[in-house]
Amino acid sequence: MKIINLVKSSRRLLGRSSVINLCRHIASQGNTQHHKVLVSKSLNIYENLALEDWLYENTDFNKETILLLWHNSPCVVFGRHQNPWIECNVPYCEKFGVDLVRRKSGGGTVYHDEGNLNCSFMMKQSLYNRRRNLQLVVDALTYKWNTPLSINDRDDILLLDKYKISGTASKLGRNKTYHHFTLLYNVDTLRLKSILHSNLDGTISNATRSIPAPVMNLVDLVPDIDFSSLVNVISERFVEDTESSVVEYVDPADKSAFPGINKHLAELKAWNWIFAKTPPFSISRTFQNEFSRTITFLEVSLDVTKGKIHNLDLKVTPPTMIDSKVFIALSVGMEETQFTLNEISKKLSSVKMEWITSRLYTVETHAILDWTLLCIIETVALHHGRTPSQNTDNNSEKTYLNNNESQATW
Amino acid sequence: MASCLFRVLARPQVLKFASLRAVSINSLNIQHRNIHITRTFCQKYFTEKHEWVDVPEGSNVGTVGITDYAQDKLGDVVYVQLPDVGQELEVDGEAGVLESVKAASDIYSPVTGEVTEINEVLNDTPKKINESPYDEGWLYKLTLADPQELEPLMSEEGYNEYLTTIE
Repeated sequence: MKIINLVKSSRRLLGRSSVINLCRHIASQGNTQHHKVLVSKSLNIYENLALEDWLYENTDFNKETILLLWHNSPCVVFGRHQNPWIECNVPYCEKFGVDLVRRKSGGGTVYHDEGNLNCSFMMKQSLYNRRRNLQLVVDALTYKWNTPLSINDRDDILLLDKYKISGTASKLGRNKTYHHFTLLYNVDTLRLKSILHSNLDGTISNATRSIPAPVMNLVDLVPDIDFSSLVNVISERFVEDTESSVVEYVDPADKSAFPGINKHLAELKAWNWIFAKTPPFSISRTFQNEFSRTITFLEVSLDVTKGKIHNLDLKVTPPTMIDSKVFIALSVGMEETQFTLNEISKKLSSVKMEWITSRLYTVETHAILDWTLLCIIETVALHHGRTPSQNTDNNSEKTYLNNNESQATW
Repeated sequence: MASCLFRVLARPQVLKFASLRAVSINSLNIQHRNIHITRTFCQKYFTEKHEWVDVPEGSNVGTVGITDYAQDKLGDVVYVQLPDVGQELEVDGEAGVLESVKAASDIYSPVTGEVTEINEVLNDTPKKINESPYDEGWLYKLTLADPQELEPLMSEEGYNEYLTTIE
């Protein structure tokens, strides 16, 4: 009753719109927000990110703040504006069933497996505070296990002030936001290191780059940490001091609980989202070989925009080694080809057929023309079994002097 | 609860908030007059969400960007995803994404219209948004579908006053 009188009198003093703003302000100051913890039962990264998307779209964040927790089977998750071919070994992942995923938040590439807890703090934008979320987790873990954790200026959580155990990313909409981060407690760090390594040379790109950091697992210091103990410790901390709280186990495949979730799932699994959203990039390589006792250089360059090849350009030195019609047929034939091994191989085969019918591919030229095709395959580096390059320099000027050894791996 | 309300009211920032709110409404009235009487110079219009749109006199093409306050809040911009030329944008609809310090922030269009040009320079130097948010760091240009959408937006003066109410 007192409050009503107060609101009435303050309305006279401040005007109606100011009172509404004042009440909103008071509401946001107290712990009137409903805090909900959702733990996903799914181990599928696409399903879990679809659930996060669904919650982001369908939750009234003026009423509640959500903490979504999950872990999933092996996958590589890269940031919204990253290039998967530069960030990780795409052919290796495809061969060994490691899911490749583009998330909607910014930041760098991470490797997940079941030994990694994902925490997503979802709330209205006025409450957005990455530091507070990270501190909550650090406090919860330190309280329970006395772990020596710190947070650096990149919002990474460090163990022993040195080893990264958590990488952060966030998405900000007009009124709502989420901040999610990884928490490595028992991941296969050997696999992590071998996967987060590009097998592509000679790229130029404006895409967001990841910053590699030494990593460590929490179990190396606290052997009894596992998924359920982490979920319990973090959930308890998140819901304490709030008037109402819930911890709920959910299944993202439950279409009655999450109507329309399949739309989000289909989007996240689409090649057009995972790969074609890659910011435009270029690849440029130089190869060397010997034909008829003449040392021959071949420069291959191409652009990839929206997941498709454009402007394939080839230059041979000395120029007399290959008929210019050969290159014209290649450039025209490869334009707009999807940047996948399957599509590129198909197009190269049809170009070869064209060479044969136009009598460019002959007994005299077949060796150098087959080598040209191999150089293109080597440039796009989409085939399995290619030895990852030891050189991580992405300078466009760099020349890759090819030899018969690297061809032999194909 | 009542005493809590008193405490909140007693905070100087709340009373400031309330009084400046009234000022910003007055400034909106001033801006109305600007539109109808003095549209003789380039004018930037500002949204509460820290976007600006610059519409020169006699033109129906607006240039859109984010404000100095917004770029400061974002931190170093590392990647800019802009709309496509020819894309139809709606007022308050998503127009792209700015990435900074691991955060992907959606950009919203302050007005409805068709994109005629994007700032290609930002592809190579996204930091222009931080260095020059009102000039070299513009995002895109569009033809205004409805110039009346400018009316509720703030003038530069009004926006500066608005800024003092939100911190």
